[in-house]
This record gives sequence, C-alpha cells and structure tokens, in this order.
Amino acid sequence: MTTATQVARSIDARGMPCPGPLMSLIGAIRQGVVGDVIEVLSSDEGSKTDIPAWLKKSGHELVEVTEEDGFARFVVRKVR
Amino acid sequence: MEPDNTVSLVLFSGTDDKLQAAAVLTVGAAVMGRKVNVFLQYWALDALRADRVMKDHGVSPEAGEDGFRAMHDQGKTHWSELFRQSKDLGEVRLFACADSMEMFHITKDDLDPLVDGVWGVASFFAEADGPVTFI
Amino acid sequence: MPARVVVLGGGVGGTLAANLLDKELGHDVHVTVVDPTGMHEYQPGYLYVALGKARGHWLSRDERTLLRRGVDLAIERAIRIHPEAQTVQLERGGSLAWDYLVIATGARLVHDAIPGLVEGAHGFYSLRDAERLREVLRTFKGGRIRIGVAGIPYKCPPAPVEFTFMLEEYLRKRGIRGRSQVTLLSPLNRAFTIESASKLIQPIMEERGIELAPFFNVESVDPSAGTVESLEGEKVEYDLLVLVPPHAGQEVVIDSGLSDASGWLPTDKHTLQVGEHERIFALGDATNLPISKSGSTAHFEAPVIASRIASLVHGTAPKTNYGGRVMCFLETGNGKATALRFDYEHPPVPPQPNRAWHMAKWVFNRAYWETVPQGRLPERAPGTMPRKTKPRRLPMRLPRRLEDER
Repeated sequence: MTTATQVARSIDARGMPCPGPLMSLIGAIRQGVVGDVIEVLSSDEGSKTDIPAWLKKSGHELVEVTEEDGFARFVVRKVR
Repeated sequence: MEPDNTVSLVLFSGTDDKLQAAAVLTVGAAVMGRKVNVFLQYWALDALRADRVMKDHGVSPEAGEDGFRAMHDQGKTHWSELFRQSKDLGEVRLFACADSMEMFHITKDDLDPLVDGVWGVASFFAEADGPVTFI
Repeated sequence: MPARVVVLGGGVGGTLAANLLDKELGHDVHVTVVDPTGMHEYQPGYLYVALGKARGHWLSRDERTLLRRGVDLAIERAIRIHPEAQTVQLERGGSLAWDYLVIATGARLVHDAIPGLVEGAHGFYSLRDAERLREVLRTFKGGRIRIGVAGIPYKCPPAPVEFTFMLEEYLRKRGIRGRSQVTLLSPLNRAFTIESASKLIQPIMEERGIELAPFFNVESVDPSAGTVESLEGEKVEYDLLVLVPPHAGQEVVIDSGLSDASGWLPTDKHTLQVGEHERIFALGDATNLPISKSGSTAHFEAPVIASRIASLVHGTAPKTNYGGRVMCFLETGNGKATALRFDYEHPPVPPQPNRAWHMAKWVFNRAYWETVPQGRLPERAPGTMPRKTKPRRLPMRLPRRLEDER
C-alpha cells in the first residue's frame, strides 16, 4: 500500500490509452513544486516500462510501484 | 443521410497514361468515401492480364514527346500499385467485362489479382447508381 | 416552440454539428453558432504554408458561407456560460438563451507559457507563425534545426513528425541538406505517440539521417545563447528552433467553472456530455478525452452530438455513441504518406507509406471546403477503417461461349 508520504496530487489514468498516463505524469511534474509526491494509477501495460524509463531520464524519484487489481500505482517524487 | 453515389469508371483504353489517370481518380473518390467500381473493357482488360500488367503499355498518341516526358517525371508509382493501394483507402473493386474476356479467350486465372470479379454489362449498370465515366 | 441550440465555436466540429442539427430537426430547432472571428480556418494547411507549398488565402473562409440558411451566426466572443440559467454571456453585453449547448471552442495556443519561446522559437500552428517561418526558411543557409513539442496535449500529434519529414525534403531540394542537421525532440522515448506508427517512422528517419532526441519535454528557450532546455535536464543548441507551443482550453470554459485550470472540459467518452450537465455537450479539441486532438475527431463526434440532441428534442432516449473514431494522415516526405485509423476498440495498423495516401491527403485538403463542414461526406470518409479480412471476391462467371448459343 502507499507509504506514509503525503500525496500532493493523485492522477487516475486508468482506461487511458498509452501514452496517456505518462503524459499526465509529465504534466503534473511540470506544474508541481520540488518535493511534491505524485501518484498515477494506470491500467496500461506500456506504463510499466515507460514511466520508470522516463523517471530514469528525468531524475525524479520512483518512490514505489504497487500492482493492484487490474492496474498499477506509481508514486513519484519531484526532486528538482 | 449521406448519398451512396458509387463512382463507376469504365476503362476502355489500355495506355499507361489513361490507366494512371483512372488510378488517380479512383484514389480521390475512395478517400472521399465514394464506392468505386472500375469496369475493364477491351484494351484496359488486356493491360490487367497477369503476364502483361507491368509491361510498357505506351501512351496515347496525343501525349507527344513532351507529354511523355512530363508523365515520366511525375512519379514512380505504377498505376497497378495505386489501384492496389486504393483498396486500403476505401471500397474499390475492379471488374472484368465478361464480353471482353470472351473476346480475348481468357479466364479469371489469366488476370492480375487486382481484378475482383467478372461482370456482364447489365450487372455493371445495376450497381452504377452514380456517375459513369468513360476513360 | 423550436428548441434553441447554441454552438460555441465555428470550427469543423461546431459548423458540422450546427448543419446536421438544422438538417435533421428543421423547424423544430433554432441553431446559433457563436464565433469570435466569423472565419473558419483549415488548420491542416499551415504546415504547407510554412514550407512554401501553399498560400494562406485558401485556408480560411467566411463561416457564413459554410452554414445552412436556417442556422444563425453571431460574430461574438462568449465570455461566460451559465449552466443553470441556460444562457451564454457575450463580450459586447448581449446574452443568448439555450435549451442545449454544444461547446466546440477548440484549443488556445499559449506561447508565453514557455520562457523564451516567443523570441527564440518558430512554429506553424497559426497562419502568422507559419508565414513567419516560411520567410525564415527562405533565407536559411543551413544549420542545426530542432523540431520539438513544448506542452502536452497538443493538436495533431502527427504534425511535428510530418513537418520534420517535409522539412528534410525541402532542405534537400534547396541543396542545403548537407550543411544541416535535423533533430526531432520527442516528449516520449519514441518518435510518435502511437507505437505502431513509431515503428514505421523511425526506420525512415534513420534512412534520412534525421536524429531523434527521446524524452525531451521543452521547458525553456534561451534565445541569446541559442539553446533549448528540457524538463529532463538536457540542453541542446539550435540554429533554427521550431516548436509546437503549449495548448490550453478557452478562457470562457475556465471562467465558467466548467473545467480545471487546463481548460479541457470533462467529457463522457461515449455520450460527449459535459460532466453532469445533461444539456451540455463538447467535441473536438475542447474536451479532456485522452484521444488525439484532431479535426477528424471533431468531424466524427459532431454527428453523435447532433443525433443525441435530436433525440432529446423529440423526447426519445439518445442512442448514438461516439466510438472513439479518429483518422489522421501522416506525410513522410518524398510524395508518400501513411494513415492512422483507429477507435476505442481498434488500435491503428498504419500501412507502409505510399503514394496513394499522399494523394488521398492532397485530395481531401482540396475537397474539404465543399464537403466536410456541410456534412456531405459519407460516414466512411475520409478513408475507411482498415479491413480485417481480405476483400470479398465475387464469384467469377465463366465467359459464355457464343458457340453454345447456336
């Protein structure tokens, strides 16, 4: 389940086709401030590779990923 | 709500320039959602024989040398390939005229796979609920 | 009493919805289109203007000439929508009452949301930007050209890729390709949003020496240093920078409290109803639907809304749903193009770029004014959904032999 960190923004991108969930995350990072914790729910298989790949490139932190019933929950922190 | 208006092209001439023109018309009609029925008679049918499709069919006398050059500078896609591609754009079908088939003593096996069927003149006009153009 | 329908926006979706409503309901409806300029723009043409292949004058027409006689046109800017009172407030002080509202207000370009973009970058998302870019390209002597995206979502996902391919061809024709570097800065780690299309496009890019910079979401431009920086922390130098500017929904939508700050209206993906408002519908770029913002989307959504409102006016339950159909041409340069045809159930299977699709786009661009806004195209146009099975072959009749007759 989620950690004790306060989620500043939760995005329910379930049902969104690829690359919707990643794009929503990028949008939220753009609009957020450093330190913000953003949560994205995605039912799209592509997100499981796309989101971690983007995080690796952009340097933001993947706090945790959990598999839930039919979707994945990505918790991300904006670090810069 | 919208008119079906099938476009029916009767191809008689078998020169490359006229076949190219017909293929372009077909592409245009197909993208605009018109059904296209192409009816192949005489020399157009002859050009669609499997062993003759890619041969040089020449150009109409009216082309002249300048016309010939202009046409060849245009593009490298063969008209048969354009017809083939047009089937992905919309509902395009090519039919061989039964009468012409008989004239040449050929059967469906002699024709390029582009040809979808054989029609008599009556069938052609039965399906032609829109404009009929003769090329 | 005829039902009053107000359509905000005279673009492809608004115009088509208005015409279809008038055609279907006749005296049972009174439709008013509200548009700030009264001019209908064919936006897919801007790309061609930027590359010197078309002139701006064929890209816009008087909206009045595209609307049926029974449809009114108010050349006004809507500033507030009042859902409970069922009115729309206009900038110059008037107000329009409606029984049903269609919001077709499109997307707004927000150039100044990105620092340095206005001074440092070019674009082709408006006629003015396209004409300016054309002039710059005319005198361009070669150099590092970067094409990128400064905000998602944006209209016409294929456009940056199309521009890149057509620009590369343009440089070759001008004889300055050897002195130039062409780079596509992609927000994703592939060339295009749709994976199957990316797989088609990337090899062609490689063949033509076009670079792909993945995961490059433009964050700022430094015009004096000639650099563009990404959200991901990379900085790239440019001699010519072409960017898709950030997009947002229209202010009237935000000011009316119908959407969040992004301006995209919360819309049902099938019924196209806005939020809980049973009498308000949205189409095209204005919605928050996670599908392509494309003219074709608006074009396919309009009949759904017209049909649903017609049912409501007649007191029957609306049955028509939008299935997510979208159709985009994608030019790949050298006289070839491919097409993306998809809906909610079917991902696209783009064909190998070919001449027929390039011609098809050419024909469609020219036939647009006489067909699309008036609803004169059959439902299957432009282009049909790709066939899943091979075309049905009619039984071949053997030629009748004349001898048999005798």
